[in-house]
Amino acid sequence: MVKCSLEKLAYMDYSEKLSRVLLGVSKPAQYIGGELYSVCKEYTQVQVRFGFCFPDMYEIGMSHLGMKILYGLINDVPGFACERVFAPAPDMEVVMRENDILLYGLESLSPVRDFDFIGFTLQYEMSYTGVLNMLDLAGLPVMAKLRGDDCPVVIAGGPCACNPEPLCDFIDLFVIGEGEEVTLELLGLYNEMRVSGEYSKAAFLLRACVIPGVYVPSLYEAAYNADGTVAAVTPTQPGVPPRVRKRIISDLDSVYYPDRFVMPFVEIVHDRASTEVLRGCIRGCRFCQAGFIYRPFREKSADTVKSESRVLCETTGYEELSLISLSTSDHSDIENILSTLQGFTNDRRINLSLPSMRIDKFSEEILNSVKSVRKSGLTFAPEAGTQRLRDVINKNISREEILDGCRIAFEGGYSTLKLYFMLGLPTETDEDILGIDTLVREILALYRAGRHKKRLMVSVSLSTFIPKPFTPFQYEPQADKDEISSRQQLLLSHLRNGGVRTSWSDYSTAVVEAALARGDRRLGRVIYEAFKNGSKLDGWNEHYNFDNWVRAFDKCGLSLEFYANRRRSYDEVLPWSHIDVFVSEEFLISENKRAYAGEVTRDCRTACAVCGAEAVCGLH
Amino acid sequence: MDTEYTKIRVFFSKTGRARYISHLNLMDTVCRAVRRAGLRVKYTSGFNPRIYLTFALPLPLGVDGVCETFDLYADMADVSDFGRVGEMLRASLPESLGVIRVAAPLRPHTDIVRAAYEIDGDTAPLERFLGGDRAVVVRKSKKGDKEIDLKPCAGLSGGLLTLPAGNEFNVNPLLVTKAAGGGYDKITRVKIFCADGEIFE
Repeated sequence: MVKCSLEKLAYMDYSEKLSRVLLGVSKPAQYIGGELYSVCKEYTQVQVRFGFCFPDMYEIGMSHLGMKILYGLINDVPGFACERVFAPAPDMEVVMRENDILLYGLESLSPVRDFDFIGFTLQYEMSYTGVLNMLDLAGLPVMAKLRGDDCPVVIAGGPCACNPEPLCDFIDLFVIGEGEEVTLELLGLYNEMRVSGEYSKAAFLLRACVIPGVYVPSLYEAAYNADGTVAAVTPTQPGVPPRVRKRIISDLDSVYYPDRFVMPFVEIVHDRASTEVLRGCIRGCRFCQAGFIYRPFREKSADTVKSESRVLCETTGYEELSLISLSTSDHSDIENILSTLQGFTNDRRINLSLPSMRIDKFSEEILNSVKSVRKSGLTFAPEAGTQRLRDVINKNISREEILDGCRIAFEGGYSTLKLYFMLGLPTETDEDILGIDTLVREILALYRAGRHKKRLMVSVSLSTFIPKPFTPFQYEPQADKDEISSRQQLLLSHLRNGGVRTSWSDYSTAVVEAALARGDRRLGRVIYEAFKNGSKLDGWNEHYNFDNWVRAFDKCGLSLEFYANRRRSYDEVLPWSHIDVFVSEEFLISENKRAYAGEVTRDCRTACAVCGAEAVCGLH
Repeated sequence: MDTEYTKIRVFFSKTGRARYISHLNLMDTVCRAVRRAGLRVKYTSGFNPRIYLTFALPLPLGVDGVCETFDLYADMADVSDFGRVGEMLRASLPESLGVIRVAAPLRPHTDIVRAAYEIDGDTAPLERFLGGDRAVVVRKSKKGDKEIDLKPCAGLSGGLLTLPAGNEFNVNPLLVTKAAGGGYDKITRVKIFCADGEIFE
């Protein structure tokens, strides 16, 4: 193994400067790199440098699996080097700006401005101003059109790239869908054009735009109707594909998966080994964007999951192994996976966890394997309080299943339970809100009846529903502030009893997220103004400032409500209609209608709903 | 049959990029390195078993160290000797945490009374500070600020600063250099002493 040593590199680096300033900032180890398994390549061996930027701080970004995958994947290619880049905390940002330290990669400690690519992952809309701030910290113009041939190519991918329009002013190229293949194709094309001397940013983008899964926003223009809705987004020149279809990996058993994770020097939110067990989701919950944009459903074989898990545990030494996906208990071979892994994890004192477990799939076998070393709390997400509303959102979980799942958990010794619900769902009434209270009381009564020794701790988390692109609810208005707060009040006035803790999301964040999620190109100006007003870590309550956004919308003459709280008709051209994630618009419309009729749609394994992904789906 | 464990002391260095790892995170880093190395060690019993791991003298964040130690109880049945343990750990630690050697502990942690720090840079301000009638540093704690006169217990010669160290009375060298008003390129803990003047081993 080659360990990360600065002496092997010959880029201009900030190690001197950093050693003078780092003791003045909080958690300095996050800014210095050099962790075990970080990859420093000798500069003479590197043709293409890629800076993987996570637009949030180290403790969040280092937990992100996508970064671990692409980091390993790119660094495995001779001649390509990938470095990690995170947003600095506010104290470090001040220090960097005062000492002329530009945003740098953690491997070489050299400025990302000198890299060939800067790649952002867009995990949540509230990180958009963070993208602009990182470009600014890098000493680069935030506007794509102001960055010339001597600047890195700025690319972005991740779930939010399914509606890339609000970021079109800032990003040169979007990757739609899964990145393992297309990222290497892009780096390869770039390298080829550099070697042959054909490279200019414009020439590169023009050739890149025909690679499947690549969207070059500067090669498209948006037209608007008099009422402010989008008329069309169309290519500006021949040869540019009018629609961009997302990339998917067809075989999860042969695709690259890292055999080691960079071991962080400071605590991160998910400090554990994690193995991805499947992609996509069979469930089709109508509010859930991930459930649609990651289709089709694909599994890793049990053998692959087991061997990747073992290797990761051995190389990392982690005390916890997590089997992750949108719904891990839906793996067709999950019991086999758990029972075989259990022997290994028990022997090594490794805590096995399944972070996304459906309450109806919660069996005693699963329970026994997850609690055998350490018992952590359980989380279930009924999402809505009544069966009627759970049918509307297609959650497909009954009251009996919820209570049964809780009973199994209580009998297994669990006494900490977290329940997730949403407020502001389509068709929601006061009765649905009071249904949350009824359900929680039933759970409390169930625990009491079991005569368990420990006191039960229930926490109820209430988030605000945010309609997202590519879901059956993409047409829905977000409930306004008064509606949400009156529902919060109603529920709180009932829920005030022993053993229940409640928390809820901030509406002023949810409404901006709703606007950005379904925004069009004109929101680029708003994001720029919010950034100019000082917004940069909007995902953090303590750093979020709603007023920055209100002023930004005002200055641009645009309305927050138009984007967040307006119902779209089925025939409106949605700003992301030129992006194709396989799921058809006809299917989304029919699902929207079924929601209003209270009709559920069965999971993909029971019956194919013909969503549009069936041609590439193994379940069909 | 119960496993027999041997108490071992690992001498290591913490330099360069590792300078910025806090003591708490260093403990996590070492625990995982031990697990990666495949070394069988003793765990605490109870609800959340943890590796039995003790550090003789925590190193302040920002200070390099070349005489650091931690103790473990290792199952030596499958391992030929201490040298092999050192090799296993060396391979599983990052570049800036280096294993120097592994040995049986000779002295208990409670014997530690002093440590010597190498000051890289101009030591004139430190000389002035320690050369006065009193050399007062202020130690902040939850119970309130406390003034300590280092005059009777600190020493400086040949770029080497010696300070009280150990469980009873420990002085952070960064507190002293800050009070002296000098900025230094690097401070490295180079030696740890016992009450009888012997090196802590």
